[in-house]
Amino acid sequence: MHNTKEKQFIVGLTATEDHIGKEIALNAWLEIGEGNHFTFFIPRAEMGQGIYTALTTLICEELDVNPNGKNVKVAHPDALLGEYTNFGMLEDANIKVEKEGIVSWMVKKVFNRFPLILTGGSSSVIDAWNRLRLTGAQTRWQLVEAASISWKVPVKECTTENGFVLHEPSGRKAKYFELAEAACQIAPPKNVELKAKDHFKFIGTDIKRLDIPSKVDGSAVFGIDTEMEGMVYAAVLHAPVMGDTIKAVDADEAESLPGVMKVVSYDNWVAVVAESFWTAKNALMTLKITYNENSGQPLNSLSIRQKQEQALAKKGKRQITKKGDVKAGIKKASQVLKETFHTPYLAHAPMEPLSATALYDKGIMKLWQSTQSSTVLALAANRAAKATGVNLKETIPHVSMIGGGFGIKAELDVPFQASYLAIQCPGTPVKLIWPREEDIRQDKYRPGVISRFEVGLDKAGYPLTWTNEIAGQSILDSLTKRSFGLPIKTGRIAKYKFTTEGAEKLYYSIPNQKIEAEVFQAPIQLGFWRSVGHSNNAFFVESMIDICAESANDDPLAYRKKILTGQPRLLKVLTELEALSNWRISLPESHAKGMAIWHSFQSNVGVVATAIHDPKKQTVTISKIDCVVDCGIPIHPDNIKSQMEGSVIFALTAFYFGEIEFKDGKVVQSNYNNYKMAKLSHTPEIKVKIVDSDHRPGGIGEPAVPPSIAAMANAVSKVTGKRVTELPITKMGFKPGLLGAM
Amino acid sequence: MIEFKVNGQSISIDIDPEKPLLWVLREDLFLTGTKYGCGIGNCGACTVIIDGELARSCLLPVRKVVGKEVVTIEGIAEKGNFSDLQRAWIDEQVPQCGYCQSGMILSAAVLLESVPNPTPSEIRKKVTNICRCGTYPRIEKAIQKVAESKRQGGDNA
Repeated sequence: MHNTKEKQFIVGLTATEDHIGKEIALNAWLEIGEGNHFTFFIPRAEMGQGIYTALTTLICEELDVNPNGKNVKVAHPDALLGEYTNFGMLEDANIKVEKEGIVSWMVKKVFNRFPLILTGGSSSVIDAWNRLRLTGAQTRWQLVEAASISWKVPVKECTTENGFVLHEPSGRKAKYFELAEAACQIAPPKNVELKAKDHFKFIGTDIKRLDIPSKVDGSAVFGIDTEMEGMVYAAVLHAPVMGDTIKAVDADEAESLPGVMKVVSYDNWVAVVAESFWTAKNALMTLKITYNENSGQPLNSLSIRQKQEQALAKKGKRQITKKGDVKAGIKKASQVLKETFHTPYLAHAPMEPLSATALYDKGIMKLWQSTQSSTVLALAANRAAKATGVNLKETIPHVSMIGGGFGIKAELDVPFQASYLAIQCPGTPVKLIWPREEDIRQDKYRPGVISRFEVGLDKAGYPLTWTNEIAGQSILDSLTKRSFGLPIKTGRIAKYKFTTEGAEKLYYSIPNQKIEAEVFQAPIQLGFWRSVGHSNNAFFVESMIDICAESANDDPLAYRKKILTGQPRLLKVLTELEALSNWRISLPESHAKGMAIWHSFQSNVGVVATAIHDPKKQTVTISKIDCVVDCGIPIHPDNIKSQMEGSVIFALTAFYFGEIEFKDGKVVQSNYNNYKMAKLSHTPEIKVKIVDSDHRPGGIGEPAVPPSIAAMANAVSKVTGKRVTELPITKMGFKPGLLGAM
Repeated sequence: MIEFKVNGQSISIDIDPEKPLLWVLREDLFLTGTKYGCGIGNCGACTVIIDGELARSCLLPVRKVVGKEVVTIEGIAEKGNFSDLQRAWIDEQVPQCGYCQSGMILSAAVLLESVPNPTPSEIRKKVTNICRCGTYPRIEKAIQKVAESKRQGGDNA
């Protein structure tokens, strides 16, 4: 096993205890050092979602080690091992490797050779739940076996307690460290019985997050914080018009500036390498650049809107769902409801701008990045070697702490650029940073989408027919094209997947359904933005359901209860939400509640938003959020709450401010002054309730974003009497209000 | 030579006087706890304390701190122990990604220094930094907790 273990990214609860002396690797996930110190290798990126702590807890539960002990540390491994593959991501495509069979066998074989080490899709715990508990149990089994052999006592007389094996009859006790070497020689059984839920010691308790102490004293090393002897810094500028490439760069002035070392251009970007990032960034402004202009129509927000509408109007759209007979059904309807919704393009804008550090020397590339994927780092280095014609022997990918990802930090371009620059400066570490303006203007955006509904209600007011047409750019097509040069063929369901995600399978019982989608081409790059297609479709579908409830003169919560069938978990969420939010208690004038429920990433979330309308100032203010989540067995309740709160704020930013506009082929917004974020003064009171559940854990990083946006829209529609059909809220003529900071 | 103090230490450095303090701290003094977020003084990730006042260091030429006392996140622990605010930040499990938290903690420290007993509205007005992860509810709670314990005059050492 190859683990280079550069220790700089190790975090633990206490910074005082160092691991010194001998260390023994028990498997790919765990090393025990002298003094019984445990280092867990967690191949998922910590970006604030608490994954280091959650996955360590899963191993520790079965291993019988306190994850909050002073002897526990976590590191992201550098090794690209097959077993680090995130198989949980494949569940989205209905591939479950835990089910034995030919498909599972083949998938494992492929990913053992080409490991897919990726953090995303709220899938890390879905992937790890059984695998890591089993790893912990197998390791414990090995240690106990080693003790029983050494002590010549029966296994069943041995017990464990927080890092020790005990033999009570003889009073013997040994540290796991002392048994580790012998334990490594004993193969564990394939299956070891796992604990039942009521025997959990750590799962379900409020374990303190292992990365937090390093985040209150400035010691956490984010990718952008990578510093080393002799480092140089690079700043990058991309062709501002989407689809253009660089034709020529006049760098005379830049190269004459003190501290500037090199100007490098490739494809659609140019970078300045200098002694300081500040120097490099300033030098970028002096470059005289000419571009190869793309032949397409000049892109602007209006032309994108027209493309959406044309796509929607097209005959013969891709059919995604068909149930019953919509045509016949609509004739029987007592009421026909029609509405069209729009959403904007959105940028990720994590607080840590995009950055990567590369050091190329004698055929070896070392990379440091706050990335969601070490596989992508290796791929990027290979691409850069190919582009420059060097013979790359090895890549060592270091994954550092991420200062916010939300989907953007798994892209190839940043580590490719850093590797490309490092190859031009052999032996010198190069740290590339994208100025914030590049981060906003060259993001891989969440696409804006148009969604049209025609819903027929029966005499009692329940939906009889449901027609939903959705049009937008294809995220997956954009991704596969830019990353692998492989567009997806029209008609392939994958092309529409993230456009229709969440809308394609309604959990409300409606006998006749027709759901269709259309995608169109534009030179805007798209990516996975926290909750992806769900972020659009929850707003569309849950707004439409509210319109149905209104037309039926029913209460939105009671109405949903009546039309949910065969969804016990969502029904439970609704019932809990009703209690948590005091749904039936009426509010003062100019206040109203709105709600939404949504299932995504194998979790169920319900949200009630309270909105205040000030007709004089034309402000709307989200003053309170009640959130109920059923994410299966809760592993780390306080962290689940934290993710729900964060998702609500993420949704609030989108609801109040989020919009990327296009003009003359360029992105209008450039920084936080014009791509605004919700702040403390916008923050509503947030109450979270976690439903206790016996189901296998689902994701927690994303599933509260979709229903939060939808609940806010429903609350504002109710309080203003004006149906919110477009976001952000300024499009409806309202300004976001402040809370408690007047 | 530019001379100033950082976290109590005297610094004397031969550097372009126009270079912003942020980049001097990060690239020349290896104090990477102060972060680059926007570069336009908007987000507050680069917040430091200069002679007791909050400053956004990304736009501040280093010549402007000559002879002054700069405190960064690395300098607010008390005798090697976490400060009250840092401890409250851990107790409330405030940070998610953590990138903005240096600036948040320093903003809170100066707020509590100038207004020992802040009203919720004062906290909301004064803490204007951006947190993309949305840790605001916990930031508010942690500040209130420290203010509360100061009000009670309890020993927080």
